[in-house]
Amino acid sequence: MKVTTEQYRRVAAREMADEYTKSFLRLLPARLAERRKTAFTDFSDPAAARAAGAAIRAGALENLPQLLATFEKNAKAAGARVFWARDAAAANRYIVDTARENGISGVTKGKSMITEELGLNEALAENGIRAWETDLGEFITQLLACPPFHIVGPALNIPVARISEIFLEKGLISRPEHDPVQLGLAARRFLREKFRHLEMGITGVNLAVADSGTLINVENEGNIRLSKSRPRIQVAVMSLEKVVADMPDAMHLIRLLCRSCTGQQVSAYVSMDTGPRKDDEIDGPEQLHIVILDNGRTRIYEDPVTRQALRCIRCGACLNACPVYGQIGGYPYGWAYSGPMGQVLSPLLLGFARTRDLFSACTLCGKCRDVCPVGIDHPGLMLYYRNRDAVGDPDFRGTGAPRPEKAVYGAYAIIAGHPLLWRVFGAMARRAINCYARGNTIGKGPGVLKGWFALRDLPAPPSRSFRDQWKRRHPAPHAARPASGRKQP
Amino acid sequence: MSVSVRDQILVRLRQAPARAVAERPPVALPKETGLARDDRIEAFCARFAEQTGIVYHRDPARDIGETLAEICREHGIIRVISGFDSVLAASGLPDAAMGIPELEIRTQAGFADREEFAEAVFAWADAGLTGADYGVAESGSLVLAFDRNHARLLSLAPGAHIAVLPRDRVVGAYEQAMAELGGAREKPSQIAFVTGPSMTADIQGMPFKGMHGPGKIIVFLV
Repeated sequence: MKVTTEQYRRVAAREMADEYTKSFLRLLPARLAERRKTAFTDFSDPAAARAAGAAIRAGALENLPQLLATFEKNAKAAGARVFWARDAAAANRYIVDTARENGISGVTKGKSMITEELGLNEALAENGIRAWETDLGEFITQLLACPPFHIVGPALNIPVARISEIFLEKGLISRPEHDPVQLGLAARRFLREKFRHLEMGITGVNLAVADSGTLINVENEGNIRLSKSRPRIQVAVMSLEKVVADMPDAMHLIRLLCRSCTGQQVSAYVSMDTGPRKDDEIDGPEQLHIVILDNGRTRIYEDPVTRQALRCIRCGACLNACPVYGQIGGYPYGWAYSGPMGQVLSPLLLGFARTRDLFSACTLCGKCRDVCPVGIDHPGLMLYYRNRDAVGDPDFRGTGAPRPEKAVYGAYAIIAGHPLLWRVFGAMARRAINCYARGNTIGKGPGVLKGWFALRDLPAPPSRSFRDQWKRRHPAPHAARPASGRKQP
Repeated sequence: MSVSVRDQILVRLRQAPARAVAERPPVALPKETGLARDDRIEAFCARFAEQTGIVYHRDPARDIGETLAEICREHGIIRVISGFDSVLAASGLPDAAMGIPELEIRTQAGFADREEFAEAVFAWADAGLTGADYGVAESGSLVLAFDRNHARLLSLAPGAHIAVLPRDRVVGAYEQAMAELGGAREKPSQIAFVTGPSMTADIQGMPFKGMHGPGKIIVFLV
């Protein structure tokens, strides 16, 4: 999919002015957050359940190379073919080649963020292979060619009238239809024909279990199970961090994932594949291809600070908790990952040059961190990105702070390091700032400060500094204190 | 030959600096693991019903084939494709229902190849009939392990799924079912947890059942 992360400000401003988006955002995140909270009460100790999730993911990452090697060995022993892809181009080429070698002209896809990251649909289309998104929300966004609004429901915000229009245009319905259920059933009828004759299905992977070589998918609609069960060829694309040690670890993460995502105890379907079908089975894939994707993740892994971003299990709880997402929705984030999840992942995967606004647009309130079931410290990471960007770290394609900003902070460092300069500067700044005071508050500033004051007020500083006032009230003891202080043991 | 992408990736991961991991706090298995058998079954049924699953209990005094026919009549099911997995076979189904005139039952063994079978489950059958290897009380889930006698599409392509679940196969937590299945000599190529009908709420958050999979799911406890 097209990356538009650099248009964050423009799209955010547009979305904030959109009455429809606003009314929608007043309901959706709060409702999902509430459902999540209720679902967590099943755990005898919800905080311990989340801490265990964090420990499982952190532990899996520390053992990542071993777990990946074990996973590969066991998946191959079960009959799967494993392909390691350095980047999106290599992964797409492998999938296109697999389709071509088998004479495939159309595929279905289960909802997967990773294939959106790859731009797989476009790569398939360029090679004359039609890819159908089969998750209802993804199907609608595919027809409308719009980015996902929310990870749980990519098209949740699309008005029925617009869905009716596009379904009419594509021939799914013959007259306008404004009932969501009828629209869903029209999509069912349309996609059922694709499943019925399907030869190749492509899915993502929620978890990979090392000690059995098993792939796990979590879904509600059944489109992933159909994409895995009907065709002769199944392709599963997993980013390399998806692996966990064993089935009990996977089971705990599934409990956390479903509750954090939709507030369900478990989704309607959890399906777990160990190799392709056996020779004597009448359905299931004859070929199971597993693509293990790096696409920049080894670099994310090498930095012990950013490594924690790879814990993410894509539940979307952070979106619902985020006050910024709650104002602007999913479109401004400009890629497969939105909300705090996108603010943390996209800069690492795309580089800072195109994503600077994403990690700047954070108030550091920490609500995302508080709900994260795997213990990711999103605000900490965003501060780290800001720092790496300001110093111009080439690993992150950071450009360094702009020259005027550097000059200002350089001068400030000199002033703050010399008491006399500090006093003079303080007195001058106080006077200058107070020129803009109205009563006890300052609501606007000159030049570059205009932007800062656009959304904030500053209490007006008093006419004398704290040091001045202290001196006036305690003239004598102040002078004597340093001497007596030194005498103490 | 140059170093493979696989090896390059693994070497880079191995060379990365290690980080200490916080100790994992103990997490108790779900409380359903502590329930007595009948309470466990009750919890399973309650959860399954919450997801709009429909539960029937076998009356041992009655013929199981007749009961199945009655269930099918109630839900307008005539054409059934059945697996012949060990759970189903132990219950006496589908054989016990074979002679019943109002039902048309075919078993998956009767299909020559996957295309013919797929056509039947997509276009002919009203329902798929299978055994369920386990029921899980913590979430009201069925655990289905697929093999040569239990095809994947039976519980997926037809509009309804009827699962026969033995009462002594209801466990408290996923881990218990997975441990049993993982210990088997031949591991299934796919296992699925099924919790209620296929569902979605992707248009305006309006939930409905039967998006791609069955809109109706029925458990027959035996």
